[in-house]
Amino acid sequence: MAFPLTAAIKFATKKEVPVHKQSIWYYMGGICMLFVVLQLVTGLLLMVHYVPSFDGAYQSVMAINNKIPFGWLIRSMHSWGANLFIATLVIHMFSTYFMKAYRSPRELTWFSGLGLIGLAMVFGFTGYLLPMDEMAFFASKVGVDVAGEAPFIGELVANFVRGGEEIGQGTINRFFLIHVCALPAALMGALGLHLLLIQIHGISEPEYFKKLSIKKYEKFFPDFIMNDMFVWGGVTLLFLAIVCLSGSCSYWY
Amino acid sequence: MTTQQEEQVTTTNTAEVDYATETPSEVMNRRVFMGSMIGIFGAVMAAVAAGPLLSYLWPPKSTAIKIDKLVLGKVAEFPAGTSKNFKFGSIPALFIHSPDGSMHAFNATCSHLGCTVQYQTAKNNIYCACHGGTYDPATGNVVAGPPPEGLHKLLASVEAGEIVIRPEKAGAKA
Ligand code: HEM
Ligand code: FES
Repeated sequence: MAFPLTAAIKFATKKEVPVHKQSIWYYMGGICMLFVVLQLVTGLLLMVHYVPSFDGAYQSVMAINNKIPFGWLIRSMHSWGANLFIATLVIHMFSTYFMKAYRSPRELTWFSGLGLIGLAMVFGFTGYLLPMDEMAFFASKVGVDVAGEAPFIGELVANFVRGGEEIGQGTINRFFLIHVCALPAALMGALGLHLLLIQIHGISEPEYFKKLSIKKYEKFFPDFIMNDMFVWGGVTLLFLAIVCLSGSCSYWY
Repeated sequence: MTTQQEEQVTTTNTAEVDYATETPSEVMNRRVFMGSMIGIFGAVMAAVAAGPLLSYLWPPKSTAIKIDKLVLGKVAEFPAGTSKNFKFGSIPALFIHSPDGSMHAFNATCSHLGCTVQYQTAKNNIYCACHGGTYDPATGNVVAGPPPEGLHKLLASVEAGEIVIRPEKAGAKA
């Protein structure tokens, strides 16, 4: 009984999820979580062979694509995953918005979610430079130059982000550090808060559902989590199909 | 609404097994079956993923180039007292045409910490600039400094007016 897992399961068994026409949207946050896991795992694997250097990055990425067994798969999963993660986040955001789940007492849940989507975007921006191909170079140049246009502090900010006057080794060092170290840590913190708040408040119910005299619920454990697992399995298969059939996300060569 | 009704509506699995009327062994059997099926399925999936994952993690093949013969150039290009640092495959190597006329070749990797050694014509020795290791230009043995052992030898010979380098080890056609 002292083992905290027992308490966690007990809590999960008590927790209930409302069952209604819009219940499907309750799975979106879970799909976001799936993408977080997929990005962490594939990102970790990419770091095995990726070299964060101005001269060597492109070559190492080409080796991952062409020489290392299944490197193309890991790389495509990571870049497709990045795009689909953002897409899923947007769906999750709009579904909680239209179900009015952001209203009191869940304001902080909403704001922690906004923080998470912000982090996801910085993930995308910093990750885009890392292959150091032409596309990456100019996308980052444009991105940083836009910041440089801001009045008074623009140039200062741009140089700070760039780690110098030009995109170079300094830029890669910064982007790499942010992408693989600072952001994952921040994401874990923000996601932890997000999930904690969701446990504290319980899942929200739509207005019309609250007024029903007979409400249907299902247990979070084992019923909802079981459905969750099917959703995760299905999305993973769909995801792998997209990755394999498309070959590449956009621009490899 | 009675409490009984409430209990009913909060349970969704009405169509499922009524555990109360089922004998415990039947329930356990179904559970054991489901459990082992999930376990087997998981194990198969893990096995399917393990192959690609391991091959991805496996260190790539060494890119070292092994060769068993290299033509360095015409003898006339290397008068006595000159030397040349070159690459024998991917090994840094050193060729020396001694003032006494003999020819020697070595793997130029210093046995101390791996710097590349050079021939010093003025002193007629092989010198490592990193920590001052000195080697005999004819034998490759250590003369001075921190290196724990001599340089590994290569074979230098003259064939049809050209200097040819080969590995010293047997197995290579000499
Ligand atoms: C890393 C990104 C995110 C992850 C992993 C995540 C995960 C989750 C999960 C698992 C849930 C509970 C199930 C559900 O309602 O879907 C949830 C709920 C919620 N999320 Fe997120 N979320 C993320 C980003 C966001 C964003 C960008 C927003 C909006 C700005 C947001 C707002 C909310 C709200 C308001 C709820 C409460 C829903 C309710 O109680 O019905 N989340 N999130
Ligand atoms: S590496 Fe040559 S003397 Fe130390």
